[in-house]
Amino acid sequence: MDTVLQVHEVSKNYGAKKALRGVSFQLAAGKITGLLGSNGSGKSTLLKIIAGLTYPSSGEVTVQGTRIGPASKALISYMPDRPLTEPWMNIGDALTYYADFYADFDREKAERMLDFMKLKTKDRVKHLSKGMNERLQLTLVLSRRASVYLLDEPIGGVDPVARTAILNALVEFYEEDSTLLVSTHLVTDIERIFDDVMFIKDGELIMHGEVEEIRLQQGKSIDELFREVYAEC
Amino acid sequence: MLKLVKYDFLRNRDQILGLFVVMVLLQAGLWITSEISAWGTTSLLLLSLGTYVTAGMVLLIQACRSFSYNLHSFSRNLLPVAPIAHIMSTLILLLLLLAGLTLIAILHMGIYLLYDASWLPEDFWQVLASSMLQMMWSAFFLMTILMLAITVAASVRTRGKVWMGIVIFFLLQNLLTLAEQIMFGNAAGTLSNAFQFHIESTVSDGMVVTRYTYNVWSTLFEVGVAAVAIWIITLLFKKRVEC
Repeated sequence: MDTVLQVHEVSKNYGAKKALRGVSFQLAAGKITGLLGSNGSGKSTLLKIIAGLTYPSSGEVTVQGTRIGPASKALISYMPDRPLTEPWMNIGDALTYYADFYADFDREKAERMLDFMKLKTKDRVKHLSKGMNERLQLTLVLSRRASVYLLDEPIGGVDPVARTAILNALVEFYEEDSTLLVSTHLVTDIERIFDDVMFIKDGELIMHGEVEEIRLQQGKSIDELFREVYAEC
Repeated sequence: MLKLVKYDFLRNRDQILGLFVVMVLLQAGLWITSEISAWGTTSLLLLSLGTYVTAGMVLLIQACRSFSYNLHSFSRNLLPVAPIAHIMSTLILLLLLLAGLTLIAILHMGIYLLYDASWLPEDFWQVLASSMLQMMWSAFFLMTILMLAITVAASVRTRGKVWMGIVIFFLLQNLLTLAEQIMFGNAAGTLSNAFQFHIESTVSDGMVVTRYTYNVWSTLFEVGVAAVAIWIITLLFKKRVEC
């Protein structure tokens, strides 16, 4: 399968602190990959570098052969750990904002997703609960027909009902010819949707493989393995 | 780029519209008070001008806040647009708002002339148009220097970035003023040029407005500096500024 996302020897330093140390991997289309790690392991930094919000100290990232920059931003749909919307907006404004700037934004799909998520276009963004806000962010991100989807802790800090809704939406609305990279430390709930997983620890990629293969090799679930790897963190 | 201008305006529209409403009310209040207290046309004109300049400064501060917000905004930095578009959108919105302010000032003047045109000096409109254009350019130029200071401060990873930005701005501003003075003489600088007129009230002729000489080379120098500043901001935006 063709490589969609290529990360080559990426390191990131914040002063003396090394957030990422020579991370390399490739992702192909049609897979959901879990980026697993404890808090501070470098997951968000890695996703921000791929999204083009921060720059690597060394190494290179390409999306469909395009180096990170304005052009790659048209290929990547990123859901960060903070809202992509602004407080003055209502949900309809947020959809219009996306439609105005992203040629691949599918308004009809967005409206279907809003129905699925039980959100209304007239709702004010600043009045949404955290769970509803996460659903809106996911709607905006998945309504684009992007090559790469990056989701940073999509179920962090939301209640179990919202978690289920978000995970169901992910499976329902994910574009199968794209690649989806989901960072999380809440492995129990989300393990079921992953095809591949990557373990990141202290800025280093320590494991990358297919979920089924890892389960067979290690004789334990991804959640059990996660708890073992990050036991002392 | 115009879409970015639209969203910058929408984000700040309540403050901007509020400012315009307050300014119009203040002008009306000044006019009424001047009639009651018999201030005379010169005092009213200077106070009105002062109010418009203050409103312009508030718009400049608003533009700085908006630019600084955009530098760190995830939703803004994820858009597939060139860095120059982010920079120009802030400048274009500022110019549009200043043009709106100028339009209000012209309407205000028109209404005042309907009421009393006897005081109007002969070359008033030429002096006004020239000063307004130069003030618009000065605001644009000042904004590019402010944006450069904000971007340089945002490019480093230390504490006290706000203070660093303020120091950089004052250093740049003073260096440029010094350079203009050395190269073009005492009255150089477009902002200084904008105010190079003289209002005199005489009993027999009403008011007289006299325009002093205008130094075109200082404006050309500022255009060059603004172009370099925008180039540096673009470079920092591409290579250094992180969310």
